[in-house]
Amino acid sequence: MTDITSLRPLAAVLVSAVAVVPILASYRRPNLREGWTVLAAVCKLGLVASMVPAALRGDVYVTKLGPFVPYIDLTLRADALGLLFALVASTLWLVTSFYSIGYMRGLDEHSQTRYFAAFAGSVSSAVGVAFASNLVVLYLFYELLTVATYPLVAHDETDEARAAGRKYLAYTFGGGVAVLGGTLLVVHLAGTTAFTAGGIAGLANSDPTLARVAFALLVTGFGVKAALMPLHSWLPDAMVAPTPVSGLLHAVAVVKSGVFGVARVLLDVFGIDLVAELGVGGVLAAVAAFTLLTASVIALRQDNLKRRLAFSTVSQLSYIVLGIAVGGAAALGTGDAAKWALIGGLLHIPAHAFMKLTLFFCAGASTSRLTPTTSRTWPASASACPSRWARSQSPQPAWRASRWSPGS
Amino acid sequence: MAVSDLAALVVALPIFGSLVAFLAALVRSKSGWPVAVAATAAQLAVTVTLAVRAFGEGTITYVVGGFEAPYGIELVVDGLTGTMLVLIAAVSLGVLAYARRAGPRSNPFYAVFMLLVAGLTGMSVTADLFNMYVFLEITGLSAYALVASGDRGRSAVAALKYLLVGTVGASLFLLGVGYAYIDTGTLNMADLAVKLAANGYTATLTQTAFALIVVGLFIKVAVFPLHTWQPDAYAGAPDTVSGLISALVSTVAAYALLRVVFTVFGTAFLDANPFAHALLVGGAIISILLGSLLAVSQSEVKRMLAYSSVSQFGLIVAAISIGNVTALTGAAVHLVGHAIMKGGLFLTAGLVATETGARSVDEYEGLVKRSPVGAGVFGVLAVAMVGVPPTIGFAGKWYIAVGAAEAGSWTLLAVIVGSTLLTLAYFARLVERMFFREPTADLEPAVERADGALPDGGDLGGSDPGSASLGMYAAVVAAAVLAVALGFAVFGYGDVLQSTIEALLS
Repeated sequence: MTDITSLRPLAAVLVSAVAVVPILASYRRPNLREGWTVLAAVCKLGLVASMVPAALRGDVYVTKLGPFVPYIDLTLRADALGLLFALVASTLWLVTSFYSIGYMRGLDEHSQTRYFAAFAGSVSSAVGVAFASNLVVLYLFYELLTVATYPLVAHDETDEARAAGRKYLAYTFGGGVAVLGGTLLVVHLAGTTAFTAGGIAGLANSDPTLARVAFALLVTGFGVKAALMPLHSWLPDAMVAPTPVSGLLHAVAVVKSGVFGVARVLLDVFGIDLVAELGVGGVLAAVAAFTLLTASVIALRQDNLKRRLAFSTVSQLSYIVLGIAVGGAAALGTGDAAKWALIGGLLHIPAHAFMKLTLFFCAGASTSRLTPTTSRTWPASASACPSRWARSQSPQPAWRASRWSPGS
Repeated sequence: MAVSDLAALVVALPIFGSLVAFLAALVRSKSGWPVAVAATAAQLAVTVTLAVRAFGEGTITYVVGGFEAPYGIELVVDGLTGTMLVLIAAVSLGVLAYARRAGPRSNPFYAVFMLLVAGLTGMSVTADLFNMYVFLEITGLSAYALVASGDRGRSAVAALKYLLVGTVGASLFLLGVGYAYIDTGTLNMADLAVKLAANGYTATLTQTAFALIVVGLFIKVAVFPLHTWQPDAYAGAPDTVSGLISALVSTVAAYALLRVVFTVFGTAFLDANPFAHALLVGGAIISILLGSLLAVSQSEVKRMLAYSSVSQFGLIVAAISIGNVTALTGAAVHLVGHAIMKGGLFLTAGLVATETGARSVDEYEGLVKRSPVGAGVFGVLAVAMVGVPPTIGFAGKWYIAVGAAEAGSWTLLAVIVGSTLLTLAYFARLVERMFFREPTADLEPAVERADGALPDGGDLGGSDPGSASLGMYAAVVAAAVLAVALGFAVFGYGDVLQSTIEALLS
């Protein structure tokens, strides 16, 4: 495995952040504005995809920007795990961009410029999370992701949306504080936070109690965005956001940045051997299993379609965490079991992303065409608009169901 | 001219500028601003030269009047001093750009303005404890006068309160200096350090001197519960003045605290006197927590920002109480960062009031539609203040927190890290109102004008009252850009500052 020094990871992160400027500047000309969004999305996907062959060969693109603060270098690494997440986020951003255009125009939403600008910023942060090379850079983009998505959660500017926004900020910044505390402890114990396959060596020899505290802080912090119970309640409330936001950010980019953080902590900070040795993998697996079951039961009782999907997300995310945690808990001397659990968990990142995004697109298509519905009234909507109902039953490219589709 | 002469020039220049601004009124009224700009620009050039030399070649020393230390007064410029000097000059220049339209516009105002710059600069460069008191008083008196330059009764009351409390602080400081002098017979800081050590750190006189000086400076820094002058002063002063004093006055007082604690008393003193250490730690924690809580409960934006300062300076005091290289580098970074962010926030609050008349938290509803630049800059600076990376607000906090971890101060670490959430608590409600609410009431754009109070005031260029000038926009946008951009420069700065801090701690 060789490192290829290149600006590509940085460019992949920045391309959508840079696009925020022309998006804001062309607020008077919606078609041009959306053109920038699409252009940035295509560039981003191209940049991310161009790094895939190297990753398959086992090489890693690295952007080194020099030291940032003591112990910490500002470095971006597009390793296999990061590319997986970045590829999912940037592919689905392109798809969601088209969907967003139809959705926002179809519903004649207000503040569309702010919406598209914040969306571009959010995706930048998500890819930054993917390419972070150490805990501080990860924390940096994790916090920026919070800042960039807040305008999308509070987009409606209703009391409900503002309350959801407040809750979102309180939860995610609270998680950020835990991450920061955990990161500081890791710095204290190991002198570095750079992600290392198999774990940071210095941690293994450190005080086990402090190491456990650091693990607990980090996992709690990332667990907020991963919506581990009991830290999940911001997610159903955040469904007040426009549907494409719920789809891309609250089923893919934001929540998976939390899961991704948990994965990094287990795999590349502590390493699964140390996690097993400290006995913390089992605890995390138990929390994930509890969340998985409880959230599913709660989802059964949700009438609001998006809230139901949100609880489903809570549950599905815990599949991923469970896979990673079981991998960590079972690492010692169990051969392939740990490996398969890990692979299963990580595979569920893109799998759930595609499934849940499509579901949200369907929910949004019905919302933009019909009045917002609860699941109880869906059969009625189905009879009012049979073709759309049928379409929403099968995961077709959902933007077709927006205003660009024939007949709307 | 030798480089060391610049250390004297840097104090003389603003005093001279003050004098010229005052006398220029005899020739032509409203001529204070250009004089102040010229003097401050020259000051910036000199301070940058000094700072570059201090960082590159080490400490610069100037002996005033040829009387050698410890009898005469020494001026010393090391890396830390250089930082403060450049900060003072740069912030003053930014505030001047803002003040062109925002006023006050009288010549006496600019004369006092330059005097404040001189006092702050003097406090930074002096290596003599009594001389520091003199500059502390110059700073204090000119700050009281500047606060009183507003044309409302409120300004006068605020200035009076500031005068009373500030004078108590300065007197305590002077009393402490006196005790130290009785103890040792010297006032030179370096000489004091040697003689205090020789007397033993547990001598009652030494302990009393420390307590008096630190509490006196706590008042100037506005550490809870000695902060009560500050919200009134910041909220009652004209916007230009709140921007200037919030960015510089407490900052330089905190620098003085750092200087006195480490250059005069030293880490060995703190180790020998648990009460001294507890005084710093206690002041820090109470300030961080209660300052934030008070900020959350404010309904006026400028008062909220003032209480935020109480909390942020708690972080600086925390760094001083930790007292290792990393934490003190963090203190320097956060002093600079806070000055830029808080000064920028106050100027932005003034800009917003100029454009829309909004001054209370509720009046900020829907601000983004009425004052997009104001709301945008406020948002960026608020995010920086909360400490979201990669802004300078994060960098300072990171250094201090790493320092706390290195020293094993887990309580302080928890408070420092947790302060992020407290800061968020008071900024989030404002950000939410600015961006995610419709404006409720129509407000009259109210320019704060000095016309009423100052006979020689008046309009420049005949622009309409509700508009902000290019200089005002430039000042606040520059603050926002710097708050983000400097975050990337911090590591290099920490590197060059390291030798200074190590010398300070040895």
